[in-house]
Amino acid sequence: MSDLILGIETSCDETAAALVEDGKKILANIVTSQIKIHQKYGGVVPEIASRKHLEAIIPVIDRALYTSQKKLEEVSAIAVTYGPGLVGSLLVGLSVAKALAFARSIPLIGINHLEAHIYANFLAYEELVPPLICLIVSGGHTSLVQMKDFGEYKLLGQTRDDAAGEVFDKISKVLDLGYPGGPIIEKLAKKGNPLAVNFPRPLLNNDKSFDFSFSGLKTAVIYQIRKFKEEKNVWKVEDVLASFQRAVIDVLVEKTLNAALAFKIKKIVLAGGVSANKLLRKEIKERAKILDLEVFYPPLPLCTDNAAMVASAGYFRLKDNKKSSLNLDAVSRLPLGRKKY
Amino acid sequence: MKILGIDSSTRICSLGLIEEHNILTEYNINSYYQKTSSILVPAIKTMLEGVNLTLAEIDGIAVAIGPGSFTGLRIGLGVAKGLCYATTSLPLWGISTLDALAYSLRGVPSLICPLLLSTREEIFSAVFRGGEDSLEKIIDYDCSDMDTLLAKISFLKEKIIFIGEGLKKYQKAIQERLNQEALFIDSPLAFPRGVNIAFLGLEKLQKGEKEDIHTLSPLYLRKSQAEMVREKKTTEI
Repeated sequence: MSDLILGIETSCDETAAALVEDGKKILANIVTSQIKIHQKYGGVVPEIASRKHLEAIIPVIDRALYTSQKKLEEVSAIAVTYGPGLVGSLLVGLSVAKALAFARSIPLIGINHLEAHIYANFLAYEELVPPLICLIVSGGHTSLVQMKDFGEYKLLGQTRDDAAGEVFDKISKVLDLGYPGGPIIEKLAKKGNPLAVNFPRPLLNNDKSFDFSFSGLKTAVIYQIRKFKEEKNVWKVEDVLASFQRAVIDVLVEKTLNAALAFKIKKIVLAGGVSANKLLRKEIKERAKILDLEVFYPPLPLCTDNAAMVASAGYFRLKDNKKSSLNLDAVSRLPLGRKKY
Repeated sequence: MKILGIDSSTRICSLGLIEEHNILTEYNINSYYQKTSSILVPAIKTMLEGVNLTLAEIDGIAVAIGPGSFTGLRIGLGVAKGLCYATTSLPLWGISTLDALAYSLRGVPSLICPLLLSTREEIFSAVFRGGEDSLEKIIDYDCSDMDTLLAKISFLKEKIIFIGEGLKKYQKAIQERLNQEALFIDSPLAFPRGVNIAFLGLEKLQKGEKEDIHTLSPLYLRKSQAEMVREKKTTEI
């Protein structure tokens, strides 16, 4: 008997539902993004996001079932993201998930969004197993996690201020380039010189911790842009962006490789929206190869928020007989790796 | 016909289960002790078990659509939509919290003004004309300050009953402003109760009405702060 999991994800601005069989086989992976709505505001507006989630949630679940040619009666468990994320957004998916689980008398499985991002890799690579060093990097998160075994995590470090993706968004906003900043900056940076401006590499030198800090870098970039504008020098925005991107990637790659070496772990996985960045992928892969380390990253549609990764994580949790209670609440700052699940 | 009523628009999460004109069970819990997001589904489960019923034996769900706490409304609607989606034959009705509040005074022949006081200086209101067996809405749902509301009401020149928790602090201002007789009901019972929501759902059932669970949305009556700021900027330019 195979296990069919319905995954639900509403932690930020994507309403998503997916059906995954036995944790590996994606039957449907439906994502509706609100990006166009939030673009006008230069970032996600929590109240608007929550409203849109409620409008989209049933149609998205319905679409996922329709696409997979499955009925809700065939679903063995509901896996849902309960944190970290925007509370108002999380609560929409969680409320619907709890109602479905209760009405169908099937297990509810609350999933940590960061853990789900890691599972995007298990969906993509059949043979992949822990131990792993995981770099989870997106608009909301920058965390370095040691995955010792399935369901067993140790948080090695995380950002002390802005998430890496958030800094891309903010710089994009300062330059009026649009939202989300990541893909836009990546595209422009290709035409720039990454050595044009020597931006700081925060917490890289003389710092043994695996924490990140990007707000100083953000300030330095914004300051540089202002300075260029004031001095009316000839400068190219592409150069600034390429140099900025270079600085972020240097820090991410260096810290991740250091973690792998420190804990003697041979495999590295990337996860989250920023792991879609092609330069980051290329850079970390090349440098890892020299150190005899292996790097994995999910295909693009599984990098950004989706529910297939939630369903996959839910399957392994179900196998471990770890179900959630119906009074599960959303936790906006849910940590990963502070405790054994 | 058994109807489950759900209200999560205020700090009291309120559930009611009715059969025709009888209350089968009622459940109110202050979110101070148990957050609505945690308690709602377990409370529905406990309540049904208490009267030995399963979801399959219910004939429909009525859910409060507001106005009220935005997050609270979304929790209630999310749960109600989920329950109805999973039980495909189960119809869903959206009921205004102001209708539910006015319903407490059903049968009182007077103008009735239910008020829900939000944390900001805004008041959710509507005005109904109560008959022997009816409640007719004569001023539509609104989100406004007290002055705007009173300006509309003073035109009516009839006796009016205000009902809503916490309206005491407005009583003096209201009385000074109005030309007509006004009564005030500020009681811990003056909140949109789940049983009232259920009774109003039953009325919709009898009229043959039913909502589309895909599209049913809260009655927010107010845009998000970000939208208002943005619109203000656009008009200024």
